[in-house]
Amino acid sequence: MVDYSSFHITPEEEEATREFLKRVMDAVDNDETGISIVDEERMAQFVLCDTILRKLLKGSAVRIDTIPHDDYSSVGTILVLAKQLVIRDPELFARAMSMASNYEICPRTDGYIEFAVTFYGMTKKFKEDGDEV
Amino acid sequence: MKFDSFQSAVKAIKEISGRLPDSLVLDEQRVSSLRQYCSVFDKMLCDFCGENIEFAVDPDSLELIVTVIVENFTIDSPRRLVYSELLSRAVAVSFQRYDDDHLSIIYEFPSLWVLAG
Repeated sequence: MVDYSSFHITPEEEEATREFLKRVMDAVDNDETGISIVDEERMAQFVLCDTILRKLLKGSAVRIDTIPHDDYSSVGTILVLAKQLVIRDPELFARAMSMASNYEICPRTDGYIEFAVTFYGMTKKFKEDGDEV
Repeated sequence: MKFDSFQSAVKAIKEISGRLPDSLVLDEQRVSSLRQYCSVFDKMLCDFCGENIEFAVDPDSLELIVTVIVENFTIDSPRRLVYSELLSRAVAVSFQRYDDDHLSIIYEFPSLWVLAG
């Protein structure tokens, strides 16, 4: 499982992250289609990355959208909209991004920049006989 | 002061050293460490359709400022390690829109000067 202590977040932030993870997992369980199941460890990485980004980008991001899981999709996305992203702890940023599959920053024509962080493998398939992988 | 290559920046940085108080000395190890990332910056220009790279020294903090103008910034698994190392060397990094088609990425590196002794 994720080692929260290595990411320099406060106990309160860790508690909030764990609670957010639990809410996400509960929501996914209640909405389960039966085709795939959420990879809890991958989801924990996604939620922790979201926590760290919100901490690092506080004050510079205009909007942060967190999309952990869609039906029939194994991709989780964190979308950030900002005029300028200023990161005062680049090492922590790099470590947070190391959990993601990829990330991209690109300019928009409306004067903003868009920062997208993508997590693949958010779900895992059941075996054909119906047993969990 | 602004320069278009790390080599010319280093040359000017050494000249600056002569005008600073004797209590500050140029840290050759930091200069050498940053020099190896020049190839990373050059690669950034290639990978992300970059147009320009500029080196500057902040007159107050003496930090080295590197500004790169690129069309986009996409980091996937093969690139992650080298850019993570680059990020870990910086004290700050910022991303902002340069124009409709380009991003400006500004890296701030620690001062190349340290207290003597």
